Amino acid sequence: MADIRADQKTWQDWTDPDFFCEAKRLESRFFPLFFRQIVPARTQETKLTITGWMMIIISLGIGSAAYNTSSNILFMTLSLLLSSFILSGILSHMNFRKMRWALEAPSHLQVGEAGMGEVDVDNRKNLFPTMGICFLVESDAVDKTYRLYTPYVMSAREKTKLEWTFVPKARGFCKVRVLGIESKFPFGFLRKAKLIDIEEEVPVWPARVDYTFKPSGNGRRFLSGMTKRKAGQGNDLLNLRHYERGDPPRLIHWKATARMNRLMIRQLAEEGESGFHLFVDPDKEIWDSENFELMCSLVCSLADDLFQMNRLESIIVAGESPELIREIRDLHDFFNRLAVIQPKIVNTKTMFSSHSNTISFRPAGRERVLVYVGDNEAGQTNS
Amino acid sequence: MRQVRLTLEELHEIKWLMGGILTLLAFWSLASLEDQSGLFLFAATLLVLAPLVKPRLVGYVPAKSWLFVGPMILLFIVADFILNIPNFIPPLVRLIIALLVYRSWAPRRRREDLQVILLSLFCLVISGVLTLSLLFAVQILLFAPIAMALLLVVCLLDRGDENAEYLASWENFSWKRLLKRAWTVTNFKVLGYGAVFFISTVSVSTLLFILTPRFNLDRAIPFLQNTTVTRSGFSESVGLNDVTEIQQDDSVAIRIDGPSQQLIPRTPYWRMLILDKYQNGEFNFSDSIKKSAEKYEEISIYQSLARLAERPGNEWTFYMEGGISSYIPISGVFHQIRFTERQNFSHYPLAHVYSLDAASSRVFAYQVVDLNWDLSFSATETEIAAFSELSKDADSKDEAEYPLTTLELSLSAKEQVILDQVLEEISPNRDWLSAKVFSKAVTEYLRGNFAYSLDPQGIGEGDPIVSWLESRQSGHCQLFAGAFVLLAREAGFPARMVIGYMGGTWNPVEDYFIVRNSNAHAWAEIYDASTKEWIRVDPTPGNGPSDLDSPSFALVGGFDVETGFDAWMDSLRIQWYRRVVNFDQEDQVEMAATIGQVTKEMINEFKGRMQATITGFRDWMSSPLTGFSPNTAVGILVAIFFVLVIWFFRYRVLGIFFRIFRRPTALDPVRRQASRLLRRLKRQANRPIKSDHWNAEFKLIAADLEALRFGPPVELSRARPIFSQARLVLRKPVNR
Repeated sequence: MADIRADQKTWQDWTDPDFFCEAKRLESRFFPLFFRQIVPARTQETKLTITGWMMIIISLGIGSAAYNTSSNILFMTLSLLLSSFILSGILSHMNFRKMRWALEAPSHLQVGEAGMGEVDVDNRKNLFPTMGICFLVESDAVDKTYRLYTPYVMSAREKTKLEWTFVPKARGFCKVRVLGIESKFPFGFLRKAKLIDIEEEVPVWPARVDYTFKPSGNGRRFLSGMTKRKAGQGNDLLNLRHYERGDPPRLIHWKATARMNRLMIRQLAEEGESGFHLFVDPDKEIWDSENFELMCSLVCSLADDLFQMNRLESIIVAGESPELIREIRDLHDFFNRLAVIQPKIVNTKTMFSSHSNTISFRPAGRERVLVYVGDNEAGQTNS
Repeated sequence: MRQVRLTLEELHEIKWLMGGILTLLAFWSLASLEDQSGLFLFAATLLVLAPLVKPRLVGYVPAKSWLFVGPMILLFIVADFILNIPNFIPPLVRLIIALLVYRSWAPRRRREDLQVILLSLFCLVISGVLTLSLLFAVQILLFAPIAMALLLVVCLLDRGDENAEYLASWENFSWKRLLKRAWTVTNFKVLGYGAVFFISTVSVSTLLFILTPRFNLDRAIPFLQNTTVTRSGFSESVGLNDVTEIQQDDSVAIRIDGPSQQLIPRTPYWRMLILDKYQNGEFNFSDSIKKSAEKYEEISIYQSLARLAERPGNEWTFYMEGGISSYIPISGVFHQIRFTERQNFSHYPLAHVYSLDAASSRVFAYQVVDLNWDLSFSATETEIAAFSELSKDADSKDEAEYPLTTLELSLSAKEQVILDQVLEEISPNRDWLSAKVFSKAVTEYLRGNFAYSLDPQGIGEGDPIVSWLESRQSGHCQLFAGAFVLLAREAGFPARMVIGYMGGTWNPVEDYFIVRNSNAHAWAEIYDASTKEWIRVDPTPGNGPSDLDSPSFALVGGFDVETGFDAWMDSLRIQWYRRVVNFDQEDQVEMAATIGQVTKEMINEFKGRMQATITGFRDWMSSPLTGFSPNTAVGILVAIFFVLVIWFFRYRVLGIFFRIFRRPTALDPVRRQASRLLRRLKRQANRPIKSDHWNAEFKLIAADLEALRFGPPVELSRARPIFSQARLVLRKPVNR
């Protein structure tokens, strides 16, 4: 259901400027209702371009010459210029009609890595193409407004995606916005713009860092060939479950899929090595702002790598309840929290002493963070 | 399916093509100007065609050379303007041509393309204003769509910094390939709608043209007027074959818009100029008449002193083609002459001749009120006095002043003897009682002894007319009229030659009179002392009766009729002059009056019908059951019921109508169901006691329903679980 609400947030209907205005909807008198069809709410901005000003000056010149000389040739030219202005307005109106668009921001970003914003544009007109439309977009990551141009001609019923990339510089939330749409179609006399501020907040995960991680004994080792009754990356089939986003295709159980008529995934029992528990302590007394960022980056990189190796069991943030990391979504949820985590005063530090393979982090100067497995130093960030 | 689109390079190529076409169109319009830039224009056309056909040629011009071209053009233009002072139109035309050629070779970005459009429009307007030609309409109708298409392409290519400096490379370019590609990507349905839009634009433009308020300021400033050289046949000094040369040209000289063809004599004469002085075989407009000119500066109406006994108030509009003469063709005396713009105007009262300062190079329109078609003119006091004092035997003097120039014979004694011999041959006793009798006799003699030919024979040594008279060979109108004038003068009658047009044809398509250059003619006027009038005499064979009292002069109408495609094409021109070139406030008022009249008639018609309906209804009301079946009565009652229902719910219906009109997706079943459930939920939410748990559930489900109702379209399968959940919430008691 949440996705339906999210769709609504980024969805706009171009043909109805006062769509979200309930008060106006209640209007029942004929004339106000009628005139609103002709003059929509003032959400559009139209400005003359240099070409437009030039045409107006020329029209004024020809008009004054026509009146002074009573020359019908000049009156004829004047009327043709004026009618081309009218045509320009009509075509411009038609160009914007039945245009739908939506902002599609990425689900997450990572510091230092290119992210991509998308604007889905749909020309729902049955006959007329749409031409020369430009979307004004920006993100917090870059101090620049981009202009995304649709193809020269978007035929009737054609859809397109406009993309732009940007590289976030700091973790936190990055706002991705569509500021408005503008077009000089058809003759470049007028710049018609619709100012709509639609934005989405995207979590920016910490950057990846280089580190070394060599835990002594690699955690508790089980006997080879033993399996755990726990989902993992072993060889024994533990269960069948529905496909979820992010599942590797090689785990699809094709026979079950055919039988159930939907994608089914083999869930295998875990075997071999045990996993680690990450302990993140954002204590203000331990960290200063620089090595805190480094610690976040290290936690992010290490958690990602351990998850890829299927050796991440849970994550504990000091002062909060532990979270088991079963699937990629759990990890991403943690990264989303990591995006906004700040140094704070932590009163209770619950250490899972039962887990000897708990990974914790400590600062070593301003530009180095050490990794501990239990009480043993197991790695550090590489400068 | 992937859409086929033109590439950036192809759009630039199309832009280049359209810019070139606009330039050529501009040159075409300039070609109709007679401003001595013909050769320059021809060379410029070739220079524009070269990069248009082979755009690769542009690449051979070193980029740095464009730095010098601008200043060079500037120098050339400044020199051209200085050398042509005070004539500024030809240098202006050459300036535009030079700039357009420059733009055809230099790389064009957005600004330069706009310059091409503006310069081309300027050319069209200048040419249109100077020539007032129907071609302007054709050219502007071609210009408008091409300029709009070019502006559209320029607008599409205007993508900020992305393509600002892009220039077509012209590698592997071929027009054939480009046109083939354009054909492939063209959507003919869209193109058809584009054509409809263009036609609508032209219609709106026409409407604006008609509705633009005009003010009869009566002070129209002459704007960009170009003068030209007149035809030598209609100048103040006419050689013996000059009129005949005009006759070789079959083009239209004057179009006359009159009240009716029944008001025009069967053989109309359009008088332009009299030639009173005869010297060395040439007739001239004497300086003494020129000196008598009444000159009027910048007038738009000239009121003639001539008053007609009966003045029906008829208006005759003349459209004289450019480059014919500065003298205005008029059939006779008139009450008033009006011009569309202020004019310098001269009236020569002694000669009943009217002229402008210079011949117009474009169509010149003037309107004459109460035009007279009489065979004769009253002589002026000066003429009457001069002729009454003159004894018949007095010898004419050299360098005589008008009106004595009409008796002047600059001939040798031998030549005079020949004239005497001819006169004796006509009447041995030379007993002509009056000018009319003389005219009849001489006309019959000339018609009887000389054949008409455009290629005259028998002109020998000495005076050409006398030698022709002696030779008895064939001759043209000038020889016949000249011979008549000389014989009249020899006989003692004052006479003068008149040049202008005779006859014409009728165009039935638009009902107007056409005079062609082939109607150019020369005839004579003889002074009748008894009536003190100048009488028109046309001695050329086949041009009316010799007897000046013949009733056939009173015949009207019955002209040759022009038919076929040429007549239809020519009627377009008169429409152009009538409806466009000379459209003014009066026409607007007339049009408004017509519309008012039509509206009034329609209202009266409507009133009449309503009255009849009401009367019928009243009749029916007085006896409603007669002539009605019970079924009809029930039908009427049902109809009334429905009308009342619609009237009662009219606002709701309108609201629904507008909402559907505005957002057709409102009919989507998912939206409608979401809307219904939302309404029910909100009713439930309005109840006073609600538990927190219910409130929380309500908020969640209401948000989902709102997303379904107002958000992007969602399939029914996705919406169903939300509907079920909403129903569950609705079933739950609110206070638990």
